[in-house]
Amino acid sequence: MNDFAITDCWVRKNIPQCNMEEDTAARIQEILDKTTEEIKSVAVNKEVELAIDVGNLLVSDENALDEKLIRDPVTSDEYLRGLARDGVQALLTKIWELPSHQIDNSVYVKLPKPTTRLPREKPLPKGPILTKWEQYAREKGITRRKKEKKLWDETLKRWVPRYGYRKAQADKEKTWVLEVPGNVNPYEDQFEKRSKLKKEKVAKNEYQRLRNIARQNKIEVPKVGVTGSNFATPRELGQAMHHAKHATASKGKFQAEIPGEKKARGMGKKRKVEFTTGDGEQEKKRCLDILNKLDKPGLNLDLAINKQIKDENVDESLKRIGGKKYGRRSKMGGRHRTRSDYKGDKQGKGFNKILKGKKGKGKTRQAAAAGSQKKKAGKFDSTFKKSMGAGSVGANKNRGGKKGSKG
Amino acid sequence: MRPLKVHETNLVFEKLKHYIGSNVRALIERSDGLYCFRLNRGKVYYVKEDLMKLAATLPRESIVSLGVCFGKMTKSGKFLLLVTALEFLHMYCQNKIWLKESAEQNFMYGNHVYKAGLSRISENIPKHAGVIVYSSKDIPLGFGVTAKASVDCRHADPMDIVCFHQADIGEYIRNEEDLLS
Amino acid sequence: MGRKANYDTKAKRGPGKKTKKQPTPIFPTDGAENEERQLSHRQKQRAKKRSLKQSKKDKVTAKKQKIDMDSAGEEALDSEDQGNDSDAEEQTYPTAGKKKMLLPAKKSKLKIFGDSDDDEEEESEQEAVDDYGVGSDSDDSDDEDIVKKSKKLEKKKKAEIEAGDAYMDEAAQKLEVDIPSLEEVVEELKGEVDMPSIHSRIKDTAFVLAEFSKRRDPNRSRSEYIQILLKDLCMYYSYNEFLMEKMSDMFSSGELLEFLEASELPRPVTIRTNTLKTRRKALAAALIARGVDVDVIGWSKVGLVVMRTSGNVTLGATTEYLAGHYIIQGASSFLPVMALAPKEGEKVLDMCAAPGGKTTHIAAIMRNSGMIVCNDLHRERVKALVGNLHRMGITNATITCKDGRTFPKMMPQFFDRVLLDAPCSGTGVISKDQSVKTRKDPKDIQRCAHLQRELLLAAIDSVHKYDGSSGYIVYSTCSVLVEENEDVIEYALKRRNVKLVPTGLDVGKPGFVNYREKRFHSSMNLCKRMYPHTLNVDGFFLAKLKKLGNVEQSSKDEEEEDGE
Repeated sequence: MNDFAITDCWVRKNIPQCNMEEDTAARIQEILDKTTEEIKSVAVNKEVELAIDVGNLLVSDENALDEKLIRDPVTSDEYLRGLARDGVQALLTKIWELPSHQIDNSVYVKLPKPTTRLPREKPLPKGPILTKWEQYAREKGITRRKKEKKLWDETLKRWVPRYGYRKAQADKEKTWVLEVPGNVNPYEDQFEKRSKLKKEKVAKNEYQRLRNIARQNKIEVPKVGVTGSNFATPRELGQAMHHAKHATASKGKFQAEIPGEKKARGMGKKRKVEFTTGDGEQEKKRCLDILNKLDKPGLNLDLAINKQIKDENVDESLKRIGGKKYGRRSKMGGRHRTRSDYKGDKQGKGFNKILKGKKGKGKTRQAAAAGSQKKKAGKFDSTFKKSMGAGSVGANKNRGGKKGSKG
Repeated sequence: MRPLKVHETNLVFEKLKHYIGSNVRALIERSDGLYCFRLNRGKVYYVKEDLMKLAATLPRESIVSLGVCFGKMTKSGKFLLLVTALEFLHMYCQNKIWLKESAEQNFMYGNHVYKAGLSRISENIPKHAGVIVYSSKDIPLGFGVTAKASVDCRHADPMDIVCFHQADIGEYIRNEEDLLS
Repeated sequence: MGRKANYDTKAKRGPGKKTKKQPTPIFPTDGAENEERQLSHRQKQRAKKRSLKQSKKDKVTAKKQKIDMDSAGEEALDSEDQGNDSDAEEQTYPTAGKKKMLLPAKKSKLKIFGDSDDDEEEESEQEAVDDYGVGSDSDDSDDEDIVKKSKKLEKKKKAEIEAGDAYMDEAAQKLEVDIPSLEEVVEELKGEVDMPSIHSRIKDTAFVLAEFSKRRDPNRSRSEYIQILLKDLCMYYSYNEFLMEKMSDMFSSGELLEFLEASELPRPVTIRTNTLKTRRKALAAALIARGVDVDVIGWSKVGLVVMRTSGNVTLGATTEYLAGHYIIQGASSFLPVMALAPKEGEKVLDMCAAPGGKTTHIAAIMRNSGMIVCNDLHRERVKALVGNLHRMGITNATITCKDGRTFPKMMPQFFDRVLLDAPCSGTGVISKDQSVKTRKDPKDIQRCAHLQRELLLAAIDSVHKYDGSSGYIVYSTCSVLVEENEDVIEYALKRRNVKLVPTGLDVGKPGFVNYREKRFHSSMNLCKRMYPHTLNVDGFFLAKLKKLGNVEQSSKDEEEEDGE
């Protein structure tokens, strides 16, 4: 059998070596039989020519399938295998036809360029992210206009550049004097003020440019706290402070709350506001839902408290007597007490008759508990022993009906 | 004007349940149309839906009242039931107290109800339950909260308070600013 | 089980007063009814006697009428009419216990329909059926004798009055009523005045003016007498001259005196039962038990007049009041709402609603169905409105506080009915606010009138046009001046496609079609005017308009006028 290992565009052909052994005759005969059986003619005849793209090692068989053979589950498998085999054979004949090289006992064939165009492996790249101004301009329909470099300036009576060399000079010439407005502190330096404003503008522009770049390259930048105080609203500053305080704990400790400090507002998630004139039916439904929740029987505090008190009392008294407290398990270890049992208890019959005698009328609960626990003497589980511990010992001791309270 | 938020609706319903119990459902599921609650300037109004939609078209600042004012949301976030809700409360409430004629005026001035002024009380009222106070002629005078269960009222001292005053119709002239502004 | 309110309207079944529906009106064909009736023997005998007597009387009365017409002057007749009117009207008010209302020849009682159908308003006036059930056919035969007797009495009275007048004339000619000249009067009034003497002079002047041709001083003009009268009246009743002139333009001197007298005195206190919570009878019983004497008002199903309250009871603080069983309201305020006649399920606008008497009445008639928007400009008055609405248990109203003129911009042609109780100069309620006498001047009146016009146009624009059952505007003021009443309606008729319709009320005088130099639309007589001296209610004006279309009519009207 010929093996083909496909690497890159080169195909290596391996010719296996025949093993000559004692019963090679039979073996050879076998092989020969096999090959004669399996090897059909190398030539593949199809009604429609097989489209072979050697570069992609792709064979396209556009012949119509034989319906009968396909439908029948017995023959379909064979049929399809046959088709596949034909296709591969055709491909291989083509490959063999290509010029081959031999390097180190392997035969290499250079495959030609592929002819079929394969679909995209990765999605289309998204366009550039528009900056805020570009979005806005697109919405409004603002187009770029070329501006002149020089502008005629009335005061200086000459052409002044809008930017670059000689612009600052012209500005200085124009603003040799500045008017102080009426509502302003007279000791303020107006020139100083101007230059500060300019610096701030420049800084702001720089900040926005960097922000645009960050957006473009999908670099995450926090919204608050990045810039200086000139750009942020008081609310944003408050939020920045809040974040700063709660972001990381220094030495594992968070900063303590300062008493007079106001809390930052606008921290929560924005909740959906219902419309005034929304759907009346929806609203009715919502109201009814709320009502249903309210109508559910809530915690009846009194009952709960009483129950708790009762339970505690029982525990206490059991401790004193040395009775066992069982959890949720049945007191009879599985055996239910019937009505007659209870009756019997009252009348002094049954297991508790001894107790009744000793303790007189009106059995106490604790005594009843103790009495019932006597019955369990014979039905102890190891699990019970474990859980009860000292209590069980006490019960054993009480078998004689002693009043001793230990445990 | 806006609809009530969930926690506000909860407050309102709980307060109403106090007085009319399970009949709160009847306020919402009415056969003669859809009714809804709306909040305007801190006051909770109970109004039919089509009237509410009409009012929504009017300028917000000019709306003074819609339908019936049930009560107001106080600054500390509680719901205070006002006497203007008496109309609806007395129809659905099952706990009633009737006063003697002599005690009517007293109650309408804002005082609590003493045992001496009590003429009748309906059965099985627990302590601290919401009640409607009626005059001897079956005119609803206001509402209150029982200080004693109806069982205990029988054995009470004449000077004992039987019902705490919550709201009364005398407030229409006594307390106009709080009620109506 | 709680008492649940049932908002369905149940048809009443079983015997009882309320179950009787008003029967369809039967218009008697001429003489046919009388022929159809089968008379008993006794009735036939009586009929014979009657016919005999009638023939005799006809001869006698014919003679008498001739004499009547000759002797009495026009003015005397007027005063007689008024005298009769006032007599008849006074009966409606202070009498406790039901007196059967005697039908005089003229129908001068106050009659009002309970629930009048709007369709029938178009037609001629219906027969009135009031609480006493007088005027039904079955009683005719029994009443005829009584009617005849009353006619007799009247004629006697007339004769006496005429005799009296004749006597007075003679007496006057003998006595010579002395009225000083105008200059003297003016001089006198400048200095210290003696009220009784002024009063007597007023009476004298009025007396002279009543029969001017006979009693005048031949040298002096009528205008002089009138001037003297007006000056005296101004001084006596402390009016300013402008208002006094206006009043004298409207009324004759005798009537003027009556009007002024009536404006001095307060009108009787009336209350209206809230039908959402109680019945009139039950309320009357409850109030009487409290010590307030009330009596029913004949022409209304919900009105009670308070005649006397015991000292310790304040009408505005009783338990029933606070529970919303009634509201204190002037009787004239019932009328606009009765004219409006709102139906259940309609959308009604009340433009100047405070303090809320009329709005609550509307809601009570509509039984808390439909929608009411009540509006008032002033915040303080709106509070009273809120209080009243909540107290009376009205659930279908929304209250706004804005200028009424903005309604058509927000909701054009939205409402089924609009009630406009316009703010006015208050010349009809001088008894409530005496300062009106001195405060009013032409500018005030003009300002009021301007505002009223704008409001009325806004009201008209807020209603949809007549669709077979609704599309009405009711305009009312508590003023008697023509500038605020007929003028405003005329303005609206010209500017909008509306027409006046009968108000459905049987009280009050018709509006002026011609007033001095003004000429109004011919249908202006469908409006109603009420005076304190005729009906013992606050002075009032009422007009009901039906909207025919949404297009403004102004240009068309002007073209027509120009064309003529």
